[in-house]
Amino acid sequence: MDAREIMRRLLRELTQRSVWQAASASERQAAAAAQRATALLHTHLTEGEWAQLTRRGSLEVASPSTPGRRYSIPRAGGIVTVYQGGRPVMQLCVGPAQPLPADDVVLLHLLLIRGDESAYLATANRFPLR
Amino acid sequence: MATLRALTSAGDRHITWDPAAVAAGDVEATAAVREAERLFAAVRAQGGTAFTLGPSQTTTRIEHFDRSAEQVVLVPHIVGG
Repeated sequence: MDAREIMRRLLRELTQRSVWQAASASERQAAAAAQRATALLHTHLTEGEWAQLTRRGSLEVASPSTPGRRYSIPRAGGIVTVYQGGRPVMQLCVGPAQPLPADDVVLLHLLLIRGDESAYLATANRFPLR
Repeated sequence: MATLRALTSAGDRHITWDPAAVAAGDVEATAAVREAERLFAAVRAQGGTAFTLGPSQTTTRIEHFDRSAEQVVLVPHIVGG
């Protein structure tokens, strides 16, 4: 094996190692962000709400404007279901324009519903249920 | 202590400052609140929404940075899917 071949192999190995290390660092950052999101969401929920989220995989939020209306936010992401008087009446497709950790997305829905429900509904694509 | 949090794709970013220290002219506290103001303006310029959080889960949308608020949360721009 000549010196050029040794250099070529060495370069290839270093490249592969740095790609692996970068991927590994990225996964660690994502895991850390997800942990912080979970901790942050927990601080914004009552114990009952937290128990509901962890047990059912969704969070129910009462409408601040319409009596009997509730929003069901899935922790795994996806469609938000609107209930009126306990009956599902509408599905909403709305989310952040940039990717966020899953529990930060739940917090985003929660804050928008409680703090700016009309803009939240105006932005969402709405699918009435019959 | 007052806190501003911004939800980002890398997880939440937060800045904390002591309003009393800001009022007293403390250099570090003033730098922190200025950084919070910059972050607030940057997220709002990208279409994000800001809320103050109060007791009993009170959530209020705000248009302008409030350095006296105990907790401010910035969420990114949302879109219909």
